[in-house]
Amino acid sequence: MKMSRRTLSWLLVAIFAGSLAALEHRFEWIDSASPLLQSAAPNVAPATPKLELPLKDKSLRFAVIGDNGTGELPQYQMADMMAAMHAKFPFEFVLMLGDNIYGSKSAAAFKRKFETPYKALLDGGVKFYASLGNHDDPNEIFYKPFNMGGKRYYNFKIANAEFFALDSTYMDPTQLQWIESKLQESTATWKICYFHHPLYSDGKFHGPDVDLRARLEPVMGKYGVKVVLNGHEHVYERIKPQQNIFYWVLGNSGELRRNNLKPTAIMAKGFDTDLSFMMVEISDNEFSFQAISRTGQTIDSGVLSLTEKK
Amino acid sequence: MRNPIASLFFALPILAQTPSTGDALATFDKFALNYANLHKQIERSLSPMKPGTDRAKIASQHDALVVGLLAARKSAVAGEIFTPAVSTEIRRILKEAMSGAAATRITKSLKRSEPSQFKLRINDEFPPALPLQTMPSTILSKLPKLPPELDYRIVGRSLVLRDTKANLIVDFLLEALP
Repeated sequence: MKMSRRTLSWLLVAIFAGSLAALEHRFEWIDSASPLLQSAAPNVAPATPKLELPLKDKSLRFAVIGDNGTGELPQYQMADMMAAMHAKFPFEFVLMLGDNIYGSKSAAAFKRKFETPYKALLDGGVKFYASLGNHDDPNEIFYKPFNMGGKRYYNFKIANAEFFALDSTYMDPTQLQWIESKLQESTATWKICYFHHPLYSDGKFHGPDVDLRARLEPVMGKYGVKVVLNGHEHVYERIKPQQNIFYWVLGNSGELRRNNLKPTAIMAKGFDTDLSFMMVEISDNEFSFQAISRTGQTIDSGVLSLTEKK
Repeated sequence: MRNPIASLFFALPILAQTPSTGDALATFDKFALNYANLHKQIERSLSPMKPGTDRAKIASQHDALVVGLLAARKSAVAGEIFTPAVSTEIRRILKEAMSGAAATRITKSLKRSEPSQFKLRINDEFPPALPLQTMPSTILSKLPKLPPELDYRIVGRSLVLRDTKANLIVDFLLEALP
């Protein structure tokens, strides 16, 4: 029987998943102590999961990926799952949380680590908006498909949401002044900042950037940022609201650091056993999200609502 | 009466200490601006780097900028921008930043931002395969402001001035961090 490379790879994932299932007892103490960390070994076959987003009329729909640019098979498998979900939930664009291209930065590398894996989405008119990670070439800002307009940090507004891509490897006073003035000017209902280094994280490998937090969080809090999306740690983690801001760490759309979460009181949900990406739908005062693993498992979902001030 | 040559000899250390904080930083600003002007001048002679889909073209524009800068600075040596007086001042700023209230969080941030170490040489490319260590925002708020053609980077305990577009090491200060 002939088998394609991709089929073979999924078969290997399935076999690996079986091995992981045998190890699941390893997580029991975590699960029994806290429901926050989801051990979830990959399922046997990639199946598109049930859509848990409302698909309201005229809503804003987008996806989020982080630390994706490896050019390796897992990235391709994750991209396949994104394309499959796009058929169910036609998101308009994808936010990239940095480490867009690991290793070589040649033209061929950009093809292998970005253009080919996301070809179906790119061909379908999905735009990508990148931010820079510590593994990125600063000249990625000139790569048009990343839509950075030649800038390290930039903003764009769609519907009632405004997005602010920041360069967290170099938060100098000029950038801080820029974000402050842009946030102050913004009239968007949803102000969303995204950048590479997390201000909160239960990842064991890096941990949060506490100096960046001390400098940036007061500005974001002052001007009503509601959502912050970060990568860097190769796991998925949703943080309980901090200073009225909802934080995510999503750095496992290409790279995975297995079993790297050490849950603390700040964790709302964690997933560190497979790759993932997230889909978001914004409609008026609601921000609905669904995070999906490489094998099509919904690992987290929910709705954030803004309460009107009276 | 003191021998005039001897007087000059004794005066030298005093001269080296003479520039005030303001003078040293003004000198640094001037040198950084001179570098930025050189960078801009070379860039103007090349086809401008604009957003495009052809990654090979972006790479060749970057390479042309590097060639131009290397030709213009082939005799550059360490310490041309971080002069002794500037170095003293920068070390003082870093020491102050890292011993104040923010010291613990700066140290944590530095440790957590994938520190890397390699041999520093003027006009070498900042190794593209190595992750770029985050510059703690608090430190950046204390150091003199740079033109956009330059940024500060930390390598080990050294402070590097890097050309942001060409990714070249323009100058460095060893043992800059306390």
